[in-house]
Amino acid sequence: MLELDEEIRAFIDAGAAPVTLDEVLAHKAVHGKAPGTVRGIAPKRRTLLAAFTVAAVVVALLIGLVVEWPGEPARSKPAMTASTILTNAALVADNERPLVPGPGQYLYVRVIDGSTEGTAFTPGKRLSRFYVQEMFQTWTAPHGQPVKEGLVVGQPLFVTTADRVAWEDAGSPPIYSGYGGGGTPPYYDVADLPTKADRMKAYLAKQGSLPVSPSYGRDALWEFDAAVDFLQAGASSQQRAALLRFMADIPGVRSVGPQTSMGTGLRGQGLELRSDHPGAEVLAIIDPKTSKMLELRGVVTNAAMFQEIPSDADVNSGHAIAPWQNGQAYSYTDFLYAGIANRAGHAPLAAPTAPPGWSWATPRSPLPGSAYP
Amino acid sequence: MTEPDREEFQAMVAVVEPRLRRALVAAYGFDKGREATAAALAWAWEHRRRLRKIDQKVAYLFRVGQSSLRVKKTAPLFEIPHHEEPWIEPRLGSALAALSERQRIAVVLVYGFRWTLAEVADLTGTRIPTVQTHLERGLRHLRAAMEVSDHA
Repeated sequence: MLELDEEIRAFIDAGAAPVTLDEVLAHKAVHGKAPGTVRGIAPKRRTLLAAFTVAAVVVALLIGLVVEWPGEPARSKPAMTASTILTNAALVADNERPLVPGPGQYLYVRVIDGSTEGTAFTPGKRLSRFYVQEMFQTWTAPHGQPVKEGLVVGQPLFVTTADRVAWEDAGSPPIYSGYGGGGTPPYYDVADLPTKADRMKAYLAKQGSLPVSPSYGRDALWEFDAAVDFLQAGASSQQRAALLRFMADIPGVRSVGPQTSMGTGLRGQGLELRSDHPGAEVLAIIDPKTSKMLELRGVVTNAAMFQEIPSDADVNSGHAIAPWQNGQAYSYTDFLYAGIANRAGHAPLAAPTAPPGWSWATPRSPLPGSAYP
Repeated sequence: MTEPDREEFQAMVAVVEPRLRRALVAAYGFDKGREATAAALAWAWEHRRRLRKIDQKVAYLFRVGQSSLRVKKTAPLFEIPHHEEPWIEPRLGSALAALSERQRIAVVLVYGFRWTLAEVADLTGTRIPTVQTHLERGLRHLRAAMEVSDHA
Protein backbone atom coordinates (compact mmCIF):
# COMPACT_ATOMS: atom_id res chain seq x y z
CA MET A 1 0.00 0.00 0.00
CA LEU A 2 1.45 3.34 -1.05
CA GLU A 3 1.24 6.55 0.93
CA LEU A 4 -0.95 9.19 -0.67
CA ASP A 5 1.97 11.30 -1.91
CA GLU A 6 3.57 8.25 -3.52
CA GLU A 7 0.26 7.38 -5.14
CA ILE A 8 -0.04 10.88 -6.59
CA ARG A 9 3.45 10.72 -8.05
CA ALA A 10 2.88 7.29 -9.55
CA PHE A 11 -0.53 8.27 -10.88
CA ILE A 12 0.58 11.51 -12.57
CA ASP A 13 3.62 9.89 -14.18
CA ALA A 14 1.65 6.82 -15.27
CA GLY A 15 -0.98 8.93 -17.00
CA ALA A 16 1.27 11.17 -19.08
CA ALA A 17 4.44 9.73 -20.57
CA PRO A 18 7.47 11.99 -21.03
CA VAL A 19 7.42 14.19 -24.14
CA THR A 20 10.39 13.16 -26.27
CA LEU A 21 12.72 15.46 -28.15
CA ASP A 22 11.52 14.03 -31.46
CA GLU A 23 7.95 14.86 -30.53
CA VAL A 24 8.94 18.38 -29.63
CA LEU A 25 10.81 18.97 -32.86
CA ALA A 26 7.93 17.52 -34.87
CA HIS A 27 5.36 19.63 -33.09
CA LYS A 28 4.27 22.70 -34.91
CA ALA A 29 4.89 25.60 -32.58
CA VAL A 30 1.71 27.44 -31.85
CA HIS A 31 3.25 30.85 -31.32
CA GLY A 32 5.44 32.10 -34.11
CA LYS A 33 5.91 35.71 -33.10
CA ALA A 34 8.76 36.59 -30.83
CA PRO A 35 8.13 38.47 -27.64
CA GLY A 36 8.61 42.19 -27.55
CA THR A 37 5.44 43.41 -29.23
CA VAL A 38 3.67 44.60 -26.12
CA ARG A 39 1.94 47.90 -26.65
CA GLY A 40 1.36 50.33 -23.85
CA ILE A 41 -1.91 52.15 -23.44
CA ALA A 42 -1.59 55.68 -24.80
CA PRO A 43 -2.68 58.46 -22.42
CA LYS A 44 -5.60 59.49 -24.65
CA ARG A 45 -6.77 55.93 -24.97
CA ARG A 46 -6.35 55.51 -21.23
CA THR A 47 -8.70 58.48 -20.67
CA LEU A 48 -11.28 57.02 -23.02
CA LEU A 49 -10.82 53.66 -21.36
CA ALA A 50 -11.38 55.14 -17.92
CA ALA A 51 -14.52 56.97 -19.10
CA PHE A 52 -15.85 53.84 -20.71
CA THR A 53 -15.06 51.88 -17.61
CA VAL A 54 -16.92 54.23 -15.29
CA ALA A 55 -20.00 53.78 -17.46
CA ALA A 56 -19.43 50.04 -17.60
CA VAL A 57 -19.12 49.81 -13.84
CA VAL A 58 -22.40 51.67 -13.37
CA VAL A 59 -24.18 49.44 -15.86
CA ALA A 60 -22.65 46.31 -14.39
CA LEU A 61 -23.66 47.26 -10.88
CA LEU A 62 -27.18 47.90 -12.10
CA ILE A 63 -27.47 44.54 -13.79
CA GLY A 64 -25.61 42.86 -10.96
CA LEU A 65 -23.31 40.79 -13.09
CA VAL A 66 -19.78 41.92 -13.78
CA VAL A 67 -17.60 44.96 -13.46
CA GLU A 68 -14.39 45.93 -15.11
CA TRP A 69 -11.14 47.21 -13.70
CA PRO A 70 -10.10 50.47 -15.37
CA GLY A 71 -6.39 49.86 -15.06
CA GLU A 72 -3.99 51.62 -12.75
CA PRO A 73 -3.60 55.33 -13.46
CA ALA A 74 -0.18 56.67 -14.27
CA ARG A 75 2.03 56.86 -11.22
CA SER A 76 2.63 60.32 -9.92
CA LYS A 77 5.94 61.33 -8.46
CA PRO A 78 6.09 60.20 -4.83
CA ALA A 79 6.26 63.10 -2.42
CA MET A 80 7.78 61.05 0.42
CA THR A 81 10.21 58.20 0.68
CA ALA A 82 9.00 54.73 1.64
CA SER A 83 10.80 55.01 4.96
CA THR A 84 9.06 58.31 5.79
CA ILE A 85 5.63 56.93 4.89
CA LEU A 86 6.10 53.82 6.99
CA THR A 87 7.59 55.70 9.93
CA ASN A 88 4.73 58.22 9.93
CA ALA A 89 2.20 55.38 9.73
CA ALA A 90 3.94 53.74 12.69
CA LEU A 91 3.40 56.88 14.75
CA VAL A 92 -0.33 56.73 13.95
CA ALA A 93 -0.48 53.03 14.78
CA ASP A 94 1.11 53.67 18.16
CA ASN A 95 -1.98 55.57 19.21
CA GLU A 96 -4.54 52.96 18.19
CA ARG A 97 -6.43 50.71 20.54
CA PRO A 98 -5.17 47.12 20.35
CA LEU A 99 -7.45 44.39 19.08
CA VAL A 100 -7.17 41.73 21.76
CA PRO A 101 -10.07 39.29 22.10
CA GLY A 102 -11.24 38.67 25.65
CA PRO A 103 -12.42 35.32 27.03
CA GLY A 104 -14.93 33.77 24.64
CA GLN A 105 -14.29 36.39 22.00
CA TYR A 106 -12.79 36.11 18.55
CA LEU A 107 -10.60 38.20 16.30
CA TYR A 108 -12.62 38.82 13.15
CA VAL A 109 -10.75 39.56 9.89
CA ARG A 110 -12.31 40.25 6.50
CA VAL A 111 -10.34 40.43 3.24
CA ILE A 112 -10.94 40.29 -0.50
CA ASP A 113 -8.69 38.00 -2.49
CA GLY A 114 -8.45 38.67 -6.22
CA SER A 115 -6.81 36.32 -8.70
CA THR A 116 -7.11 35.94 -12.45
CA GLU A 117 -8.77 33.50 -14.76
CA GLY A 118 -9.24 33.39 -18.51
CA THR A 119 -11.69 31.63 -20.73
CA ALA A 120 -12.98 31.59 -24.31
CA PHE A 121 -16.65 32.43 -24.61
CA THR A 122 -16.71 31.92 -28.38
CA PRO A 123 -14.47 29.38 -30.14
CA GLY A 124 -12.18 31.14 -32.59
CA LYS A 125 -12.61 34.53 -30.93
CA ARG A 126 -10.59 36.44 -28.38
CA LEU A 127 -10.34 34.92 -24.91
CA SER A 128 -11.44 37.03 -21.98
CA ARG A 129 -9.39 37.52 -18.85
CA PHE A 130 -10.96 38.56 -15.59
CA TYR A 131 -10.24 38.85 -11.91
CA VAL A 132 -12.06 36.45 -9.66
CA GLN A 133 -12.92 38.12 -6.38
CA GLU A 134 -13.64 36.30 -3.16
CA MET A 135 -14.35 37.82 0.21
CA PHE A 136 -13.10 35.83 3.19
CA GLN A 137 -14.02 36.17 6.83
CA THR A 138 -12.19 34.43 9.66
CA TRP A 139 -13.00 34.17 13.36
CA THR A 140 -10.01 33.20 15.48
CA ALA A 141 -9.53 32.77 19.20
CA PRO A 142 -6.21 33.96 20.69
CA HIS A 143 -3.44 31.40 20.19
CA GLY A 144 -5.88 29.32 18.18
CA GLN A 145 -6.37 28.20 14.64
CA PRO A 146 -9.18 29.83 12.67
CA VAL A 147 -12.34 28.46 14.21
CA LYS A 148 -14.60 29.48 11.43
CA GLU A 149 -14.29 30.73 7.89
CA GLY A 150 -16.83 32.35 5.66
CA LEU A 151 -16.57 32.76 1.91
CA VAL A 152 -18.50 35.07 -0.39
CA VAL A 153 -17.75 34.87 -4.08
CA GLY A 154 -17.74 38.30 -5.61
CA GLN A 155 -18.28 39.66 -9.04
CA PRO A 156 -15.72 38.88 -11.69
CA LEU A 157 -13.87 41.97 -12.83
CA PHE A 158 -12.72 42.17 -16.45
CA VAL A 159 -9.09 43.16 -16.88
CA THR A 160 -9.59 45.28 -20.01
CA THR A 161 -12.35 46.66 -22.19
CA ALA A 162 -11.47 44.16 -24.90
CA ASP A 163 -11.96 41.30 -22.43
CA ARG A 164 -15.39 42.59 -21.59
CA VAL A 165 -16.34 43.16 -25.25
CA ALA A 166 -15.44 39.55 -26.07
CA TRP A 167 -17.81 38.41 -23.34
CA GLU A 168 -20.59 40.74 -24.55
CA ASP A 169 -20.13 39.58 -28.15
CA ALA A 170 -20.76 36.03 -26.95
CA GLY A 171 -24.12 37.08 -25.48
CA SER A 172 -22.90 37.80 -21.93
CA PRO A 173 -23.03 34.18 -20.74
CA PRO A 174 -22.68 33.26 -17.04
CA ILE A 175 -19.07 33.36 -15.90
CA TYR A 176 -17.62 30.93 -13.50
CA SER A 177 -16.17 32.73 -10.58
CA GLY A 178 -14.38 31.57 -7.52
CA TYR A 179 -12.52 28.42 -6.77
CA GLY A 180 -14.89 26.82 -4.30
CA GLY A 181 -12.43 27.18 -1.48
CA GLY A 182 -8.80 28.07 -1.29
CA GLY A 183 -7.31 31.52 -1.33
CA THR A 184 -7.94 32.42 2.27
CA PRO A 185 -4.88 34.16 3.65
CA PRO A 186 -3.77 32.04 6.61
CA TYR A 187 -4.31 33.47 10.05
CA TYR A 188 -1.18 34.44 11.89
CA ASP A 189 -1.27 34.30 15.63
CA VAL A 190 -0.23 37.76 16.72
CA ALA A 191 -0.28 37.12 20.46
CA ASP A 192 3.52 36.97 20.75
CA LEU A 193 4.41 39.28 17.89
CA PRO A 194 7.12 41.69 19.12
CA THR A 195 6.42 45.32 19.82
CA LYS A 196 10.00 46.26 18.94
CA ALA A 197 11.06 46.53 15.31
CA ASP A 198 14.56 45.16 15.94
CA ARG A 199 13.12 41.88 17.23
CA MET A 200 10.79 41.37 14.28
CA LYS A 201 13.17 39.65 11.88
CA ALA A 202 14.14 36.95 14.35
CA TYR A 203 10.53 36.41 15.35
CA LEU A 204 9.33 36.02 11.77
CA ALA A 205 12.13 33.57 11.02
CA LYS A 206 10.97 31.33 13.89
CA GLN A 207 7.37 31.03 12.72
CA GLY A 208 6.47 27.53 11.68
CA SER A 209 3.35 28.76 9.92
CA LEU A 210 5.39 30.92 7.55
CA PRO A 211 7.30 29.54 4.61
CA VAL A 212 10.94 29.68 5.56
CA SER A 213 12.99 32.58 4.33
CA PRO A 214 15.28 30.77 1.86
CA SER A 215 12.33 29.59 -0.20
CA TYR A 216 11.78 33.18 -1.24
CA GLY A 217 15.31 33.44 -2.54
CA ARG A 218 15.71 36.92 -1.08
CA ASP A 219 15.31 37.99 2.49
CA ALA A 220 13.96 41.47 1.72
CA LEU A 221 10.93 40.14 -0.12
CA TRP A 222 10.27 37.50 2.51
CA GLU A 223 10.41 40.09 5.28
CA PHE A 224 8.13 42.45 3.38
CA ASP A 225 5.55 39.76 2.59
CA ALA A 226 5.55 38.35 6.12
CA ALA A 227 5.21 41.79 7.70
CA VAL A 228 2.26 42.66 5.47
CA ASP A 229 0.52 39.45 6.40
CA PHE A 230 0.81 40.22 10.08
CA LEU A 231 -0.38 43.77 9.50
CA GLN A 232 -3.52 42.40 7.88
CA ALA A 233 -4.20 39.85 10.57
CA GLY A 234 -5.16 41.89 13.61
CA ALA A 235 -1.83 42.90 15.13
CA SER A 236 -2.20 45.29 18.04
CA SER A 237 -1.31 48.97 17.70
CA GLN A 238 2.17 48.59 19.17
CA GLN A 239 2.80 45.51 17.09
CA ARG A 240 1.62 47.29 13.97
CA ALA A 241 3.89 50.21 14.74
CA ALA A 242 6.81 47.81 15.16
CA LEU A 243 5.95 46.07 11.89
CA LEU A 244 5.82 49.37 10.02
CA ARG A 245 9.15 50.48 11.46
CA PHE A 246 10.58 47.10 10.55
CA MET A 247 9.31 47.51 6.98
CA ALA A 248 10.83 50.98 6.77
CA ASP A 249 14.27 49.41 7.15
CA ILE A 250 13.84 46.70 4.51
CA PRO A 251 16.27 47.41 1.66
CA GLY A 252 14.73 47.98 -1.75
CA VAL A 253 11.30 49.16 -0.59
CA ARG A 254 10.44 52.38 -2.41
CA SER A 255 7.54 54.76 -2.63
CA VAL A 256 5.57 54.87 -5.89
CA GLY A 257 3.09 57.59 -4.95
CA PRO A 258 -0.70 57.54 -4.53
CA GLN A 259 -2.47 54.32 -5.54
CA THR A 260 -6.05 53.04 -5.53
CA SER A 261 -6.90 49.58 -4.20
CA MET A 262 -8.60 47.31 -6.71
CA GLY A 263 -11.17 45.54 -4.58
CA THR A 264 -12.23 48.48 -2.43
CA GLY A 265 -11.29 51.58 -4.45
CA LEU A 266 -9.52 53.22 -1.49
CA ARG A 267 -6.64 55.66 -1.93
CA GLY A 268 -3.32 55.24 -0.21
CA GLN A 269 0.44 55.43 -0.69
CA GLY A 270 2.09 52.72 -2.77
CA LEU A 271 5.25 50.97 -1.58
CA GLU A 272 6.92 48.61 -4.00
CA LEU A 273 9.54 45.91 -3.89
CA ARG A 274 10.91 43.76 -6.69
CA SER A 275 9.37 40.32 -6.76
CA ASP A 276 11.36 37.16 -7.30
CA HIS A 277 8.93 36.49 -10.12
CA PRO A 278 10.71 37.83 -13.24
CA GLY A 279 9.12 41.00 -14.58
CA ALA A 280 6.93 41.55 -11.52
CA GLU A 281 6.84 43.71 -8.40
CA VAL A 282 5.02 43.43 -5.09
CA LEU A 283 2.98 46.56 -4.32
CA ALA A 284 1.61 47.36 -0.87
CA ILE A 285 -0.87 50.23 -0.50
CA ILE A 286 -1.01 51.79 2.91
CA ASP A 287 -3.20 54.59 4.27
CA PRO A 288 -0.74 56.86 6.13
CA LYS A 289 -3.58 58.58 8.00
CA THR A 290 -4.83 55.39 9.63
CA SER A 291 -1.72 53.18 9.29
CA LYS A 292 -3.98 50.55 7.70
CA MET A 293 -2.71 48.22 5.02
CA LEU A 294 -5.23 48.58 2.20
CA GLU A 295 -3.92 46.13 -0.38
CA LEU A 296 -1.09 43.84 -1.38
CA ARG A 297 -0.81 43.43 -5.13
CA GLY A 298 1.29 41.56 -7.66
CA VAL A 299 2.07 43.90 -10.56
CA VAL A 300 3.55 43.20 -13.99
CA THR A 301 6.36 45.67 -14.58
CA ASN A 302 8.17 44.00 -17.48
CA ALA A 303 5.64 42.15 -19.57
CA ALA A 304 8.22 40.61 -21.88
CA MET A 305 10.03 39.03 -18.95
CA PHE A 306 6.85 38.03 -17.19
CA GLN A 307 5.33 36.00 -20.00
CA GLU A 308 5.56 34.85 -23.56
CA ILE A 309 4.01 37.47 -25.86
CA PRO A 310 1.75 35.92 -28.50
CA SER A 311 0.99 37.61 -31.80
CA ASP A 312 -2.05 39.88 -32.19
CA ALA A 313 -3.46 37.37 -34.66
CA ASP A 314 -3.21 34.57 -32.11
CA VAL A 315 -4.86 36.73 -29.48
CA ASN A 316 -7.71 37.88 -31.70
CA SER A 317 -8.43 34.37 -32.95
CA GLY A 318 -8.55 32.95 -29.45
CA HIS A 319 -5.38 30.94 -29.90
CA ALA A 320 -3.71 32.72 -27.01
CA ILE A 321 -4.68 34.79 -24.01
CA ALA A 322 -3.85 38.47 -24.40
CA PRO A 323 -0.55 39.21 -22.67
CA TRP A 324 -0.37 41.23 -19.52
CA GLN A 325 0.56 44.86 -19.99
CA ASN A 326 3.05 46.67 -17.81
CA GLY A 327 1.30 48.09 -14.76
CA GLN A 328 -1.51 45.52 -14.65
CA ALA A 329 -2.18 43.52 -11.51
CA TYR A 330 -2.10 39.76 -11.68
CA SER A 331 -3.35 39.22 -8.12
CA TYR A 332 -4.35 41.29 -5.12
CA THR A 333 -5.53 41.00 -1.53
CA ASP A 334 -7.53 43.83 0.01
CA PHE A 335 -7.81 44.23 3.75
CA LEU A 336 -11.38 45.21 4.63
CA TYR A 337 -11.91 45.10 8.36
CA ALA A 338 -10.68 43.65 11.64
CA GLY A 339 -12.54 43.75 14.92
CA ILE A 340 -13.60 41.73 17.95
CA ALA A 341 -16.54 39.36 17.54
CA ASN A 342 -18.51 37.92 20.41
CA ARG A 343 -19.62 34.87 18.47
CA ALA A 344 -17.96 32.80 15.74
CA GLY A 345 -19.90 33.14 12.52
CA HIS A 346 -21.22 36.60 13.36
CA ALA A 347 -19.45 39.77 12.27
CA PRO A 348 -18.92 42.46 14.92
CA LEU A 349 -21.72 44.99 15.05
CA ALA A 350 -19.28 47.70 14.01
CA ALA A 351 -18.24 45.84 10.87
CA PRO A 352 -19.31 47.55 7.66
CA THR A 353 -21.72 45.83 5.36
CA ALA A 354 -20.31 43.93 2.42
CA PRO A 355 -19.06 46.07 -0.47
CA PRO A 356 -21.65 47.35 -2.96
CA GLY A 357 -22.32 45.03 -5.82
CA TRP A 358 -21.97 41.92 -3.73
CA SER A 359 -25.51 41.77 -2.49
CA TRP A 360 -26.54 39.02 -4.87
CA ALA A 361 -23.80 36.72 -3.65
CA THR A 362 -24.50 34.19 -0.96
CA PRO A 363 -21.94 32.35 1.15
CA ARG A 364 -20.35 29.49 -0.76
CA SER A 365 -22.61 30.08 -3.75
CA PRO A 366 -20.63 30.99 -6.83
CA LEU A 367 -22.26 32.54 -9.86
CA PRO A 368 -24.61 30.33 -11.84
CA GLY A 369 -22.54 28.38 -14.31
CA SER A 370 -19.54 28.19 -12.05
CA ALA A 371 -17.01 25.63 -13.10
CA TYR A 372 -16.12 25.12 -9.47
CA PRO A 373 -19.40 24.61 -7.62
CA MET B 1 19.51 22.85 -36.91
CA THR B 2 23.10 22.56 -35.78
CA GLU B 3 24.28 19.68 -33.67
CA PRO B 4 25.45 21.92 -30.77
CA ASP B 5 22.06 23.64 -30.79
CA ARG B 6 20.28 20.32 -30.61
CA GLU B 7 22.51 19.04 -27.84
CA GLU B 8 22.02 22.17 -25.77
CA PHE B 9 18.27 22.04 -26.27
CA GLN B 10 18.18 18.33 -25.44
CA ALA B 11 19.98 19.03 -22.18
CA MET B 12 17.49 21.76 -21.36
CA VAL B 13 14.53 19.50 -22.17
CA ALA B 14 15.92 16.76 -19.95
CA VAL B 15 15.84 19.13 -17.00
CA VAL B 16 12.69 21.10 -17.73
CA GLU B 17 10.33 18.54 -19.29
CA PRO B 18 9.45 16.42 -16.24
CA ARG B 19 8.60 19.44 -14.09
CA LEU B 20 6.75 21.23 -16.86
CA ARG B 21 4.75 18.13 -17.79
CA ARG B 22 3.75 17.41 -14.20
CA ALA B 23 2.69 21.01 -13.67
CA LEU B 24 0.59 21.17 -16.82
CA VAL B 25 -0.88 17.72 -16.20
CA ALA B 26 -1.80 18.79 -12.68
CA ALA B 27 -3.60 21.80 -14.11
CA TYR B 28 -5.28 20.34 -17.18
CA GLY B 29 -5.31 16.56 -16.95
CA PHE B 30 -3.33 13.91 -18.75
CA ASP B 31 -4.08 14.57 -22.41
CA LYS B 32 -4.30 18.34 -22.42
CA GLY B 33 -1.40 18.66 -20.01
CA ARG B 34 0.85 16.55 -22.20
CA GLU B 35 -0.30 18.37 -25.33
CA ALA B 36 0.46 21.71 -23.70
CA THR B 37 3.90 20.43 -22.66
CA ALA B 38 4.75 19.50 -26.23
CA ALA B 39 3.50 22.87 -27.48
CA ALA B 40 5.48 24.79 -24.89
CA LEU B 41 8.68 22.89 -25.65
CA ALA B 42 8.15 23.42 -29.37
CA TRP B 43 7.93 27.13 -28.63
CA ALA B 44 11.05 26.80 -26.54
CA TRP B 45 12.91 25.31 -29.49
CA GLU B 46 11.82 28.16 -31.78
CA HIS B 47 12.84 30.76 -29.22
CA ARG B 48 15.79 28.94 -27.68
CA ARG B 49 18.11 31.94 -27.82
CA ARG B 50 15.65 34.11 -25.95
CA LEU B 51 14.95 31.33 -23.47
CA ARG B 52 18.62 31.21 -22.48
CA LYS B 53 18.09 34.56 -20.73
CA ILE B 54 15.08 33.37 -18.75
CA ASP B 55 15.96 32.15 -15.28
CA GLN B 56 12.72 30.44 -14.35
CA LYS B 57 12.16 28.42 -17.47
CA VAL B 58 9.51 26.08 -16.06
CA ALA B 59 7.28 28.92 -14.88
CA TYR B 60 7.73 30.76 -18.15
CA LEU B 61 7.02 27.70 -20.28
CA PHE B 62 4.04 26.84 -18.07
CA ARG B 63 2.42 30.07 -19.22
CA VAL B 64 3.34 29.27 -22.82
CA GLY B 65 1.64 25.89 -22.37
CA GLN B 66 -1.43 27.53 -20.88
CA SER B 67 -1.69 29.87 -23.85
CA SER B 68 -1.41 26.97 -26.26
CA LEU B 69 -4.62 25.36 -25.05
CA ARG B 70 -6.98 26.77 -27.60
CA VAL B 71 -10.20 25.20 -26.50
CA LYS B 72 -12.66 26.40 -23.93
CA LYS B 73 -11.80 25.18 -20.47
CA THR B 74 -13.30 21.83 -19.64
CA ALA B 75 -13.03 19.61 -16.63
CA PRO B 76 -9.60 17.95 -16.49
CA LEU B 77 -9.52 14.26 -17.23
CA PHE B 78 -7.42 11.90 -15.18
CA GLU B 79 -8.26 8.56 -16.72
CA ILE B 80 -5.53 6.10 -17.52
CA PRO B 81 -6.57 3.72 -20.31
CA HIS B 82 -6.24 0.09 -19.29
CA HIS B 83 -5.24 1.19 -15.85
CA GLU B 84 -4.05 -1.95 -14.10
CA GLU B 85 -1.83 -0.66 -11.33
CA PRO B 86 -3.45 -2.19 -8.27
CA TRP B 87 -1.44 0.06 -5.96
CA ILE B 88 -3.18 3.21 -7.12
CA GLU B 89 -6.49 3.95 -5.45
CA PRO B 90 -9.16 3.90 -8.21
CA ARG B 91 -10.83 7.03 -6.82
CA LEU B 92 -7.68 9.14 -7.05
CA GLY B 93 -8.36 10.41 -10.58
CA SER B 94 -11.89 11.58 -9.88
CA ALA B 95 -10.85 13.01 -6.52
CA LEU B 96 -8.10 15.07 -8.16
CA ALA B 97 -10.44 16.21 -10.92
CA ALA B 98 -12.93 17.42 -8.31
CA LEU B 99 -10.41 19.85 -6.80
CA SER B 100 -10.15 23.40 -8.05
CA GLU B 101 -7.31 23.93 -10.50
CA ARG B 102 -5.12 25.78 -8.03
CA GLN B 103 -5.77 23.34 -5.23
CA ARG B 104 -4.87 20.49 -7.55
CA ILE B 105 -1.65 22.15 -8.69
CA ALA B 106 -0.64 22.72 -5.07
CA VAL B 107 -1.48 19.18 -3.99
CA VAL B 108 0.20 17.44 -6.91
CA LEU B 109 3.33 19.58 -7.02
CA VAL B 110 3.96 20.44 -3.37
CA TYR B 111 2.62 17.34 -1.68
CA GLY B 112 3.21 14.83 -4.46
CA PHE B 113 6.40 16.03 -6.09
CA ARG B 114 7.94 18.02 -3.23
CA TRP B 115 8.05 21.38 -4.98
CA THR B 116 8.52 24.33 -2.66
CA LEU B 117 5.64 26.72 -2.04
CA ALA B 118 7.72 29.45 -3.69
CA GLU B 119 8.13 27.40 -6.87
CA VAL B 120 4.38 26.90 -7.15
CA ALA B 121 3.75 30.57 -6.36
CA ASP B 122 6.05 31.49 -9.25
CA LEU B 123 4.27 29.06 -11.50
CA THR B 124 0.77 30.26 -10.79
CA GLY B 125 1.44 33.93 -10.10
CA THR B 126 0.02 33.75 -6.59
CA ARG B 127 1.45 34.51 -3.20
CA ILE B 128 3.14 31.85 -1.12
CA PRO B 129 0.60 31.97 1.73
CA THR B 130 -2.16 31.50 -0.83
CA VAL B 131 -0.43 28.40 -2.23
CA GLN B 132 -0.15 27.08 1.30
CA THR B 133 -3.87 27.52 1.81
CA HIS B 134 -4.68 25.88 -1.52
CA LEU B 135 -2.50 22.96 -0.44
CA GLU B 136 -4.13 22.53 2.94
CA ARG B 137 -7.67 22.78 1.61
CA GLY B 138 -6.93 20.63 -1.40
CA LEU B 139 -5.43 17.89 0.73
CA ARG B 140 -8.39 18.02 3.07
CA HIS B 141 -10.83 17.64 0.18
CA LEU B 142 -8.74 14.93 -1.45
CA ARG B 143 -8.51 12.90 1.72
CA ALA B 144 -12.21 13.30 2.36
CA ALA B 145 -13.00 12.15 -1.16
CA MET B 146 -10.75 9.13 -0.76
CA GLU B 147 -11.74 8.54 2.85
CA VAL B 148 -8.14 8.72 4.02
CA SER B 149 -7.58 9.89 7.56
CA ASP B 150 -5.32 12.86 8.30
CA HIS B 151 -2.78 10.48 9.78
CA ALA B 152 -2.55 8.20 6.78
